[in-house]
Amino acid sequence: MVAFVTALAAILPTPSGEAHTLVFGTSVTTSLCVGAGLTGSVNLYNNTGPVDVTQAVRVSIGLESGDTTQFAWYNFSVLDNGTSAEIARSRGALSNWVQSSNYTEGATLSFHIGTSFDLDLDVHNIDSASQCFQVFARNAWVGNW
Amino acid sequence: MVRAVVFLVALTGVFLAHAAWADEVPDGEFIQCEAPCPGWHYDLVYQVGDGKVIMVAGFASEGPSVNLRDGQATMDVTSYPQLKDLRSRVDDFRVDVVTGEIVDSKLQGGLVPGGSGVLGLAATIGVTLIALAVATLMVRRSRVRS
Repeated sequence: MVAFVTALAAILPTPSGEAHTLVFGTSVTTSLCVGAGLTGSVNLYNNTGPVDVTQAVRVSIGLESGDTTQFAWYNFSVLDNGTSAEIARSRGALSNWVQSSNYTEGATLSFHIGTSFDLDLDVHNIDSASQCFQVFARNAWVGNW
Repeated sequence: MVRAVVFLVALTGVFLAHAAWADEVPDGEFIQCEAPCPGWHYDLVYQVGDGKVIMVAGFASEGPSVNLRDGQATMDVTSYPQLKDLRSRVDDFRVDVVTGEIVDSKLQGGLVPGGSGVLGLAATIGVTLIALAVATLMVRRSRVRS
């Protein structure tokens, strides 16, 4: 019996012993009120890790309130802290936001680098009046436990 | 047995506390609160040259920050009394580059159109002094007549 079990254990594939789980990083909520014809810029993540994992960063932006016909463009940019190179980007330009008080625009930026990363956002308000936007971001990666 | 019950109760408490904390942190929900939102901090970005306000940014947590370009500066406006107006009418505000005070051009337009904060303050004091002088004269005249 012992010999049988030993032989069976030798034949069957051995589990690696590692389990994987999705780990969420810090969520970021920001509100930007930008003057007419001007560009507002914020740093959402600075020197963020962990390094050498595949990061997925959800980004969302929406109008806070008011008229949904607003002219603006936005640019979410992920930068490699080691080289300062831009490694992922999501940008858009809108004249009709369809709905206010909601994140009507969004994307997921995915990348794998050996150093920490920054996430910057530029919002250019082309409209003739100031307007406010709300922004949400959260990163996640697969970790071992 | 008692220790096991205490341990289980403590474990449940920790779990419930964690669940409550998780509920307090909205994940991707649009936050509907009037500025200043509790726990938020707010920064104003302006041009150093002419004091023009570029942006008012609010942050729900520590970590994120404004990015400054050449010729720009930032100011903490979390406790600014007119924060709500400042956010909704960014273009009407500017920073007095001499005094560092925030000026609402819309309110000051009636006194000194396009004037600086110092001039606006001087005009306000002047108008107040003239009004006081007129009132004093009227009171004196009414006393003389009586």
